[in-house]
Amino acid sequence: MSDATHTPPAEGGTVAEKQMTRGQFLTAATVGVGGVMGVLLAAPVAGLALGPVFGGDDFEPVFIGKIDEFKDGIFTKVVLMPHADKPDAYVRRKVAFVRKNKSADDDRLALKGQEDFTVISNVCMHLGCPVQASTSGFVCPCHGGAYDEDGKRIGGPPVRPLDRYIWEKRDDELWATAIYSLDNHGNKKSHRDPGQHTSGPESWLYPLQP
Amino acid sequence: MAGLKEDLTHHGSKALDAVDERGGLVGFHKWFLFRNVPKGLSWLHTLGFCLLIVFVNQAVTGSILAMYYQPGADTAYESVQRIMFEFDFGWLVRGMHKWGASAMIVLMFLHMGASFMMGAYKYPRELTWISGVLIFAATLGMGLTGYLLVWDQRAFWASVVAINLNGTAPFLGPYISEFLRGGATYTGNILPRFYALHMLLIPGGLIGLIVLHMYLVTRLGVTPAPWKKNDPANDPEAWS
Repeated sequence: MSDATHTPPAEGGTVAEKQMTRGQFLTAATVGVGGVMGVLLAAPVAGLALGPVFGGDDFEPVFIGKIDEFKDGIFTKVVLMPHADKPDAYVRRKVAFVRKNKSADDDRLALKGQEDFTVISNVCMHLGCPVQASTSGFVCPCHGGAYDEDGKRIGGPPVRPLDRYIWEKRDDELWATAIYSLDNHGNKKSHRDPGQHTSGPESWLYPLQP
Repeated sequence: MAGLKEDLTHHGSKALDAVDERGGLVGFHKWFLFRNVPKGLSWLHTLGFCLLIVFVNQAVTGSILAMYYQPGADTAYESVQRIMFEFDFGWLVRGMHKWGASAMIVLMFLHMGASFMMGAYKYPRELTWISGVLIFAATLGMGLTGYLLVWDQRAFWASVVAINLNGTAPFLGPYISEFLRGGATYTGNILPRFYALHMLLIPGGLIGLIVLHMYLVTRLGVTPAPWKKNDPANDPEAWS
């Protein structure tokens, strides 16, 4: 019986001959137990580091302005203050351009039921600088991206139309309840970072969004 | 007083022997520094050491700056202002850190270019080159994460652009940008996040990579310059 550990196992040997030695067992046990302990220790650490990646979009409805502030066919610049009570509210603030539309045809990229107002985010869809209103629509000071009055790209490096907010009327106030990204035809896409395509073959590079 | 000098030499050498017997440090020191080098070295061969000096400068000045810097959305900018205008030599130490950062990037390109021209990436030094490329990436990561900490308008918007740039990487990009930002939107949490990356995570990896890089350089020796390759003095056989 004990001889089995001293003779090298022959090809197709018996079960006893294939048994591991004490040294092999201890090595495997050390690596195995150590590995399990390592994973148990590392998992919560990785979870804390990566948690925000899978936290989802924590958009909370935010006040845009009084409805009678907004004029037909003219953009008004508005600062949105979500989480206004938090000490870092000034980091979280967003800027939007709001326009009242006379008819449904005034906004070629509007979603159904969202034609009365156009609420465009000021985040450039090249790499996220703040765009400014111009005579022809919007321009970005960083790398020269240009958009028309519906936020559709007309020049420069941006890869898609400007993001938009879903608005809703609350008495005499306008509120933003969500933010979404658009493809080049105005179709709604999930909100994503600037620089990521929503139309054409390049959009296949971003099949998953956190 | 001749006796004192002899005593000091005697005891000093005994102490050194004792340390060497226990730690092998003298042998290590000889292995590390008293090496044969090929004929025809030039200033280009000093760039790696320059980088090491700049890295030590960054590590020391950064550690001291960390005594005064406060990474919070409502404290960071003011604490940098205090470093600049209130504390003695704060402006100088911060300047050393800031300009050292630029110098490190410039020197890294020069060092990489010189190593490439010397053919120092070829057998048997492939691992030295690969570890150098990882050091390169980690150093760029230091530049990215350090830039935000100033927390002025330029720091913030440059970081926004850089994070979105990471977000455009295929497939994993959207996850990388969320990881850097610490969520879907920009909040005050981004400052301590970048601070931890800049102070702890990336430097930790960087130090390990630098040790590996220097071990490989010491083990494999310096590449002779291409125009000195056929010099009989550079025949490895002639060295031993």
